[in-house]
Parts: sequence; C-alpha cells; structure tokens
Amino acid sequence: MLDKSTEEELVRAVTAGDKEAYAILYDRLAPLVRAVCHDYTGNLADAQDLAQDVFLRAYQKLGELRQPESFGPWIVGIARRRCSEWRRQKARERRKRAACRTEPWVVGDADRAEEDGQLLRLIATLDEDERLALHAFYMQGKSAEDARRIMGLSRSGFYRVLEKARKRLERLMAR
Amino acid sequence: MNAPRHDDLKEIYEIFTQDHDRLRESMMASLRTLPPTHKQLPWTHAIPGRIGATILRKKMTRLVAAAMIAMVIILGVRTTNGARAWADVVKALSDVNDIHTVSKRIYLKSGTVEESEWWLKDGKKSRDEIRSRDGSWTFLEDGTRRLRLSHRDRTAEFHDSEPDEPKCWGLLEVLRGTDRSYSAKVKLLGETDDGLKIYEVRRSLPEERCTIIDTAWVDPRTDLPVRTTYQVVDSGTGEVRIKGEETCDYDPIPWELFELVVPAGYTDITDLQTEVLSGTVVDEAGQPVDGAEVLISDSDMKGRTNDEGAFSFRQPASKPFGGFPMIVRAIRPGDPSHVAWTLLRNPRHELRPLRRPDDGKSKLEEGGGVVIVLLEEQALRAFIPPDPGTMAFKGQDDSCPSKVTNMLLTMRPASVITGRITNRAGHPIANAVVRLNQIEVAVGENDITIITLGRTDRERAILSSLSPGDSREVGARVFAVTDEDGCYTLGNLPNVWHRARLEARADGYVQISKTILHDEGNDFTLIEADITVRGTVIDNHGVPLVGRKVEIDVESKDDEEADFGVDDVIIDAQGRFEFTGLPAVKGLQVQVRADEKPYDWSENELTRGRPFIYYLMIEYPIVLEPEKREYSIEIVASRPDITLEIEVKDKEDNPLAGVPVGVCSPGFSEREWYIRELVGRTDSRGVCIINGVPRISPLRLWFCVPDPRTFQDWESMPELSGELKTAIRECRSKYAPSIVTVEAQKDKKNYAVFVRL
Repeated sequence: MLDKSTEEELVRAVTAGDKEAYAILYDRLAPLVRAVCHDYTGNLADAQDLAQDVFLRAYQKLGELRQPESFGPWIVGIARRRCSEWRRQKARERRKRAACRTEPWVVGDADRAEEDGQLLRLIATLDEDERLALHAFYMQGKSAEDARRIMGLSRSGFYRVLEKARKRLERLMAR
Repeated sequence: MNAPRHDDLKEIYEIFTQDHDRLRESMMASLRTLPPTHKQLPWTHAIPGRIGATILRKKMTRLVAAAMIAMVIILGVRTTNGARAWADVVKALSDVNDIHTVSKRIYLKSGTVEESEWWLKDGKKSRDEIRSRDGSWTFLEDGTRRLRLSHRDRTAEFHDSEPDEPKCWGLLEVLRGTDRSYSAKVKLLGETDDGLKIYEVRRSLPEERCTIIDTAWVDPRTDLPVRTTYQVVDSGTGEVRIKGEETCDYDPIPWELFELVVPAGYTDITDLQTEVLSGTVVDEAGQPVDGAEVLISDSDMKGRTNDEGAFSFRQPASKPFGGFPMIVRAIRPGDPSHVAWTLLRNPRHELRPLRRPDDGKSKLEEGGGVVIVLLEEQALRAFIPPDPGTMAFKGQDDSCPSKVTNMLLTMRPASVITGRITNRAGHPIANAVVRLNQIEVAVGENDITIITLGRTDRERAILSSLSPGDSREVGARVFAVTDEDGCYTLGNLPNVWHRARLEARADGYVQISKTILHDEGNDFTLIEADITVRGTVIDNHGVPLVGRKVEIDVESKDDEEADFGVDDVIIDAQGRFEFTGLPAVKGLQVQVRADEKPYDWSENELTRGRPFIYYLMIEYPIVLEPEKREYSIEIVASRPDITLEIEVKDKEDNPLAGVPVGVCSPGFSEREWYIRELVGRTDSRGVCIINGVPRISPLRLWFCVPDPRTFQDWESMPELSGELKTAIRECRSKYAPSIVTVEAQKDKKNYAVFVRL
C-alpha cells in the first residue's frame, strides 16, 4: 500500500513511527545518494558507506524537515554536506586511516568496469548541478519529473542543465 | 571513448543499485536500534546550533563570519539608496587603525547565546577571546607568530603565522572593498533619535539558498558603524537560520594587549612537539646542502636544512603523522634545475587491488596528494633510494608509522617546465599565473600522480602579494608568475614526469587549462575577456520582458580546452541587460530564457494580474567584428499568439464535457514550458479554447491525462490544481488517454482540433 505513496506521505508515516515507510524512501533514493557520494569518494565502497550514514542521519533529523514533500532535495543536501565533511575528515585522518585500509575494489567485468570508472570520473568533474542532473535522470526508476524536483528546478531548467551536462560530458570524452 | 549513449549511461548507473537489498537490510537493522523520529519544533533544530558553535569554535570561521558581515556592509556601496553615504563608511573603515568588537553575540535557535570579543590593530595584530559551550580560548597574533591559549586546559601553544590564512589584514582588505565577489543592496532606513544613521544591507546567496540581512547603525561624526545586527534567512522557508549582533568602538588599543606572553599558571606545550620527519640533504658529491627547503606533498609544513644539511619537522604529538604515500622534495631556493626527492610508502601497508584490463594485478595506493598505480613492486623499489629513512611505529599500532628519521635526499638535475603566455596577437602577458595542478610520473611500469607537491617560500610570498580573491592557490599547488616577456618557470620537478596538467590565467583574460606532454605545448595563448554585450529585450507589442533571465553562453570554436561557463542576468524594469568581460571567441550567444517557471519571479505577470506569457527561448548569436569590443543588441520576442479550439466527442458523437485538455511541447530540450496556464476543460458543448500557445511545431495536445512522456508524475505536481486532478482521475476511469499532434503553420493563428475519445 505504501509503495505507491508520495514522499510526503512516506515522511509523515515515518515521523508517526512507521519505520518500514523509511525503507521505501530508501529504495527510491539510496541509489541517487550513492551516486552523489561517488562524486566525492571516487569508489563505490566508500560511497555505499556514506550513503548508509546519510540515511541514518536523515532519519534522526527527519522531524526537522519542514516540507516533507522536499525529502529528495533535502537528503541530497545532507549527502553533499556529509561528503564534504568526509573529504575534510579524510584529508585530516588519511595519514592514520587510509594507509591501513585494505578493502578490495569492486570487481566486475574487466573492460567494462574500467570504462565505467573512467566515465564516472569524468562525470565527477562536471559542475555540481550538471552531475546531479545526470545522476537523477539516469538513476533507474527516476522520472524526469522526480529528477527536476530533486534539483528544485523547473522542467525546462532541468532539461537545460541535463543537456549542458551531456554536451560537456561528450566534449570531455572526445579529448 | 565514444560519446555516451542514453542506454550506456543508464547501464553505468546500475552500479549504484548493486548490493541494494543487503544495504537496505543493514540500514533497517541500524534503524531498529534508534528511537522513532518525531516532528520537532522549528527552534529546536540542531543544525543552526552547530553552525553557531562551529563559527565560534574556530578562529578562521569566526573571522570569516565577521568578514562576511563586513563584506555585506561594504559591497552594498554599488547599489541604490544611501550608496554615496555608505561609500564614506567604507572609506572610514578602511582608514581606521584600531577596531574593537566589544561584544559579539550569536543567538542560536536552541536559546543559547554565544559570545566573543576581538581586537584588531594596524591590520595584522589581533586578539580573539572566544567563549563557547565547548570552552574558551584566546588567540593572539602579531603577524609572524600566533599564540593559542586554552583556558580550560591552561595550556599555551605557539605556531607560525600562515600568510595565506584569512587574518585581520584579510578583513581589512574586505573593508577596503577590494573583494567584488558579492553584490549587495544597501538602503538608508533612517535615523535614530540620537542621530545614528541606520542602513540595511541585503545579500542574496543563491547557492546557500539564503539571504543575509544586516543592519548597521553608523555614527555620522565618524562614519563608522557602532552596532550591527545580522540574520541569515532561508530563501525557501523564510525561516531565520541564525542571527547575531555586535557592537564596536574605534578607540586606540594599547600594544600590550597583543603581546604573545604565556600567562602565569599556563603550561607552554609548544616544546612538546615531537620530531616526525628528519634527515639530510646532500648534493651529488655527497656534500651537505645548506639552506635547502624541504617540502612534503599535501602539506604546508616546511623545513630548511642547516649547515650540516640536516632538516627536521616537528608537530604536536597528538597530531597524526604518516600520510602515505608521500613525496618529500628538497630544493635550493633560486635554483629550479635541481631537486632531491623521494617517495615514502608504508612498508606494512597492504595495497588495495586495482583491477586493470591488461593484467588484473595492479594495486593502488593513495593519500597525501599522491596516487600510485603499482604494477611492479620491484621497479618502484629500484627507484626509491636505498635509505629512505627509518620508520617508527606508535605502541602496538604497527599498521601506521608515526615517525620517519634519517632520510637521505640527494640533489639531482630536475625537470623544469618553461613556457610563455601570450595573447592572440602574440604579445606577452606579464603577471599571469600558471599553476601546476598535477604531474604524472612514470617509475618503471608504475604510474604516480602527484596532485600536491608542497609549497615553497617563494610561492608563499607570491600568495601574500596576491589579492584575497586568489584563494584558488591554496592547497600546496606549485605555481609561477610570468615575467615581462610572458615567460614562466615551474622548476624543481621530479625528472621522470611524462604528463602534467597546467592552468593559466591573467587579469582581463579567460582562464584556460590543459594537459601537456613532456616539453610539448607549454605555451599558452590567453583569450581577452574584453567584450561587452548590452541590449534590450521587448516583445513584439513593445513590452519589456522584465524579470526574465538573459544568459550568455560561450561555446568556443577556437579552443576546445577553454571552459567559459554560462553567466546570466535579470532583465531590468526598462528591459535592459548587460554583460561585460566576455571572451572574444566564436560561439558567443545570448539566450533569453522566457520559459522559466513563472512562480520563481517575484514581480512576474501573475502578480500583476495577468497570466504568465510563454515566450519561447530566443537564441541570439553575436557575430564578432575585428576591433569591436562593445555590442548593443535588441531582442524582440514573439508573444505567443496561437489559439486552439478543441472539440471532444465520444464514440456516439456526443460532446464530452469536463474533459481535461492540455498542450505541451514536442520534446524536452529548450522548448519545454510550464503546464499550468495551458490546460483547460471542455465545456457543455465539448469545446475547450486555449489561447496564448507559443508558435512551435508540432504541438502535442493531451486529453484526459497529461502527456506521460513528460508528465509521468502529474498527481504530485503542484502546478495542477486539485480540481483538475480530480477531473483527470474521473476522465481516466472512463476513457483512454489520448495524444494528438498539431502542426503549426506560418502566419496561421487559429486551429480547430477534433478528437473522439
């Protein structure tokens, strides 16, 4: 029943104590949050960890969300702040921690993964809005309407940013 | 790589759904251990509390906050009411030697009040007294050294001053009005009973989604503000995120207040700093090198060798050390052609496997501004000098070293990148900045990318002479400034690099960055940014398109490396706009965005009681002419004039009343427009008339349900009224949604459309 609910309804359900509603919000937005985090981390494992943390933080702060219908943009904002924080923290503590890290990279199809990684790295060099437009638009299950709402843009504004992102990506890839 | 196809991108993004179920389970398991989340009262938010605490806790953020307020005050000078009088305030502030913020308070939503006091003398001596929930500190700064007193721990610690860190002189720079990063509106509100002039300064920060509103009470005898208040207002909700106030005086401050003296009862912990890195620099003959600067990647720490060639880095014992991999370089100031360098890796560090298409055995190590892709351990070992130092480890923690001693660095010929910066006429550009963003070094079969090399004293000196807006240099990047002949030298580089990424910029020119190969393409041609485009935008009825956005877009056909970005302005009440500082390249184009969401504009047609007009986007290419620097253009937008008379019947030829009907654009790109004003419902005759449709072709008309191609989520769209949504649901339960395409013809305004549902 909840599966077809709007984000606003889901947020209200969570604040009323229904934690399962949060799982649906998670299903809808976690891939996008991971993509946003990947821009900062450059690797999937850290992006997944950060996304988990973002959702936990968001849950704890959900009561502060004044516009439940804006859950998408709100959690993307939290992800950006959390990732910036992570980056600063990493710079500070890298000496201690990163040198000790041993987790392997995700292994998949060799050539494909290499090219994917390259493309994702190129995407990470785009402007923040352009990256988010691509993430939001190409994430499975996301409609253009969802995507533009996450960015807080009009539909035309959203498509402009998307088009610009595609063009720039094309130029970067051509180099 | 080929250009990305839609399906390719979609496939790539599937990576972010990997492991989703497991991650969800894990997240939900964590969630179950947490108490339920509840709706909170607005003033119990935690974020503003943290902002306030952060602002107060750290000196830099505190100064930045203070600078921000001053900036808001200063930069309003360019605008509106009171601007002239305000210019006097700016001048008075920049002339004054002593500033004393007697009291600064930040009011947090939690009800907590954070307090501080600070003094500034001659632009470089400062004293901060900070009292927050986390403790209280005094920071003393005399321009060369800094003393930090922790009143809770009763400790004192001396540090070197960092010339590029925003300090008091940074604030004075702001007060002098040299920073033009922001624009603000200044308004003279009036006078108090005791004669103080009240100014309001507003600054909009779209990226932060907030507006900062300052109020300043200025003494007309001195033109100096004696009190200011500020509040940060959320642009979306109108909520006050944080607010504060401060009072100032400008009486002479005694020098004694700035003395860097450890008070009685305080322990000086400066000497508790421990040595973390030490060694010796020698020349190729093995003789010690005196006065060499020693630099560490990703670090601002600096060291200098003594007459025995020895160097030593010290830092507090509590601070972690060991950012591996690490590049350590030693250079002789003034000699770009030699460098002693080595790479330090943690011998106990297990590398992360990095799968590469060629062998699947590569390993990766990154940190400290260095990325190593390691194929052959042996090749790397051969490169590292035999005595890179002795590593020590702290306690039982043998995973990360805490100290490296007895390093031996040998001076050898270095690689030097030299080049010339010219304009398109071939004339040299002096004082252009060239920055090395990264170099790629090949050692045997290994690739090492060095992102930050450590900054030299010379670079520090250049930094301090650059204006505060040049914060881009911060980050231990190597850079050089061109001489009178436009020549630059980036020296002391490891002599095994094969690729480098450089960035060049100069006042009045567009910044450019490019990758160079060894000794290839080191010269830059910068493009002048001296074009001005101004003009007016009116519609074909002579009405200016007030409040719409005009963008300037540049897609260089001359130089693919240059990225000029997009700039935009809002059309003023007279229909005018202006862009300055544009690059003279082909591809300069003005665009009028007339299809923006109507509700974004505060004074749009809606608030004037008229429907929003869906002007189509206009693209106006500028044809550049030699020697011509200023272009005046007049853009005329066509007011949408198509009328659609739509008739809807059922299969039995009965007119259908109340059917929702709408028009949308044929594709997404630039020709999308908003939906609200271009929808209607059929009347009792089954007819719906929609006016003011833009002249594009083909038009797509939808019946019953908004075009699913572009409006999948129509139920949650606030732009559709509740009444219309109900009608859509009703219609959908009876009839299949339908889409009809209409070809618009030149000069034809009225179209009749018949549809049978």
